Amino acid sequence: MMSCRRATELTSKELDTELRAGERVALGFHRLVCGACRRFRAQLAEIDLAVARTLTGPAGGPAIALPAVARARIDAALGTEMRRDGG
Amino acid sequence: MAGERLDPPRWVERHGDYLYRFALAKVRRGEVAEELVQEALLAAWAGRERFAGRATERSWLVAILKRKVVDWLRKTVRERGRAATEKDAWTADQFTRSGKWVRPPAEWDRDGPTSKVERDEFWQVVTACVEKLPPRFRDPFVLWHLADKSGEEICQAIELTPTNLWVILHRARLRMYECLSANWYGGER
Repeated sequence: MMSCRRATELTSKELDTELRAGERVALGFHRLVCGACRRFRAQLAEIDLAVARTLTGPAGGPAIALPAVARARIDAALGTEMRRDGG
Repeated sequence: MAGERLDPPRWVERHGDYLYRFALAKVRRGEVAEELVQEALLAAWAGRERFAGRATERSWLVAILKRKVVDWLRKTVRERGRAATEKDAWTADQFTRSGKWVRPPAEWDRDGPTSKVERDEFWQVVTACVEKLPPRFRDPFVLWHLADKSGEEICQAIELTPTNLWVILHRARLRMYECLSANWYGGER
């Protein structure tokens, strides 16, 4: 019988790629008898989706500002380029 | 006719904070985020002829910045080599010697965010959990989510085998699972 440790590894791998036939069968059997790993699968899938949305979606959260020193430096660097190109 | 027009002299003023937050959420290092914003804006200036006016100025700039972020993550992960695939005590400690859960997953007390306020709070919780990941797991994990590519392409770019990549992603995910269960979804474990 597959261990829960191994089942979580495959549950994670399953989110990234197709499992091999043997892995799929063993994991399916484990889940038949293990409620914890069934629950883990559903919860992990939801978390993975939420993380994907957070990382790829618009930046939210508190209004963190570009530090003033960096702002001035970037403005200056951009200004130099624009003058050089006569833009 | 193109709708949007670019206004480079005001890029930093209008988009600087947003671009910085975008980069910071992925690389989690302030100086690096600043540097990437600068690189992205200079690249945008150099490539301004390619702006077709179909996207907004901001989303065009974000797309350029995202490529810079992905390049940086790829380089960082590649340079770190195999350190992230060595034995990981934290992951091992989640299970008993015989491989059973130490604290089995519990039913959640709470769903994902539903309102605007909750979404904002949730974003902060997820971001804080990402920040807490050890960099050796965090960088490949963020890269994986950001790069819209197949595992094989990422593996080639960072010179890891697919098996190594899955091990790393799993270690990051298990930590994200633990952190979000504790800080958002609840459920006694």
